[in-house]
Amino acid sequence: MQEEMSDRKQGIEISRVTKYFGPDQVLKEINLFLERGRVYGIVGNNGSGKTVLMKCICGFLTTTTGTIRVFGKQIGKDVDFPESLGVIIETPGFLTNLTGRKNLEILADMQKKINRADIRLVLEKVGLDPDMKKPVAKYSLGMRQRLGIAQAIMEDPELLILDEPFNGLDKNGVAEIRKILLELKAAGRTILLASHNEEDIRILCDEVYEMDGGVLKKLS
Amino acid sequence: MWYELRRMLSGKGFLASFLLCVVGIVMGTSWPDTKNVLDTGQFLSLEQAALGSKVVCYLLPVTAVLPWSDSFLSEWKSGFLKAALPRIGRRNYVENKILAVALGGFLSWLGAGAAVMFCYFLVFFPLEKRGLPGADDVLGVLLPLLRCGLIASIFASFGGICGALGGSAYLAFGIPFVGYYFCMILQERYFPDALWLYPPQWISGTANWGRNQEGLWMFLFLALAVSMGFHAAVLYGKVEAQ
Repeated sequence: MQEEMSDRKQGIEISRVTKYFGPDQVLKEINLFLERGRVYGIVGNNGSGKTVLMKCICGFLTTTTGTIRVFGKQIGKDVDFPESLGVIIETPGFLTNLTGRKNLEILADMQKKINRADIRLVLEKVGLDPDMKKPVAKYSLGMRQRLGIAQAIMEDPELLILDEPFNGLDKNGVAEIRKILLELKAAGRTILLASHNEEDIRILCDEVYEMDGGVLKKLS
Repeated sequence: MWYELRRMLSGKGFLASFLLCVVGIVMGTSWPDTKNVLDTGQFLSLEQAALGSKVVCYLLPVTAVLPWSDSFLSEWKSGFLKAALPRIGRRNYVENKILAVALGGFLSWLGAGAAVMFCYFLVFFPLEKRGLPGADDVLGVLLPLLRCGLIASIFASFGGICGALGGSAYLAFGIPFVGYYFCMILQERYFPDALWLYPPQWISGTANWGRNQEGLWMFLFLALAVSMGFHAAVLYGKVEAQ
C-alpha cells in the first residue's frame, strides 16, 4: 500500500511552466501534477496551447521557464525524453514508401523491447492487417491513425501522450481504440489525452483540464 | 547503430550505388590481350588502372550520395522523427545517422571494388604467369580503393549536410555533384598547382604528397572529420527543434 502511494507520487510534475514563441506567450505559468496510473484529459480550442504543453512534456520542446519532471526525472536535464513513452502528437508520421509493419519494425529495432510477433499482435489489436503489402502512402487517414496508435502502444509504455488520437477514425474505429485505452487504463498506465470529443473525455478520463489562451484550469 | 546500418545496406539506394560503382570500375578497365600469357598479378593492376579512370572519377560523387544521404530528410519531413526520437534519443539518433551516411558511401565502393576484384581474379588469374602477386600489387589496388571509399564518405556527408540545410533531396544529391565538378574545373582552369582541389588526384595520389602519401591520407581523414562534424552539428540543430 505504501509502495503504491510512493509510486503514485512519482507522476508528472509540471512546475511554473511558461513557453514563448518570440513575443507570443503560449503557456502561462502552468502548474500541474498528474498521478501515475490515471487518465487525464485536456480540452480546449485550437491554438489554446494543448499541443505545445504536450510537446514540452514529451521533450520535443524546451520550456522557456519552469520544470517538468516525469516519473522523477527532469525533462531536458536528466533525460531528453521521458523513459517509456508512447506518443501521438499531431498527425502520426511514417515512412510512406514502406508498409505499416515495416515502419513499426524499424521503430521496434531501436529499443529491442519487442519482437516481430508482438508487432503482428499490436497491428491486429488496432484493426490493421499485419500482412498488408500496401505502403503507408496508400493508407486512409483512419488507417494511419490506427498505425499511429499501434506505434504509441506497441512497447507497452508507462506514459502515453495522445493528441487527438481519434482523428479520422470511423465509429467502429473510435470504439475499438477506446476499448484499447480502457484496457491500458485498467493496466495502470498513465495517459494524457487531448480531444475535442466530450464523450471520449467523459468515458476515458479520471480528471479533465481546460486549456484557454495558455492557462490551464481544472474542469472536473 | 546496427538497425540504421541494416536499413542503409538493405535499401535500394545502396544497391544502386553498389551497382554503379561496379559498372564504373568495369567500364574504366582497359582489357588486356588474352592471346598472350598475362603478367602475374595483372588482375589487380587492371582494377588499379580502372580506379584511376575518368569513369570512376565522374561517377564518384553520384555513387556517394545515393545510399543514405537523403535518409534524414525523409524521416524529418514525414514526421517519422517524432516516433523515433523518444525511443532512441537525440544524440544516439544523430550519431547513428552520420555514421550510416558516411559508411554508405564508403561501403559501396569497398564492396564494389572487392566484388570486381574477385571476378577479375576468377577470369584473369588462370591466364597469368604462375606465381602470386606481391604485397605492392595488392596495396597498389587497395589504397586507391580505400581512398575512393573515403572520398565517397566525405561527399555522402556533404550531401547529408546540403539536404538537411536546404530541406530538399535534390540538394542532397545535386550539390555534392556540382561541388565535385566545380573543384575539378577550378583546378584545371585557374589553380593548376592546387592539387588538394583536384579529385582525380585524391584517388590516384600520384603527386608529391609526402612519404607514403601521408599528406593525402591526412587531408582525406581531416576532410572526413570536418564534414562528419559539421553534419552532426546540422542534424543536431534540426532534431533539437523537433
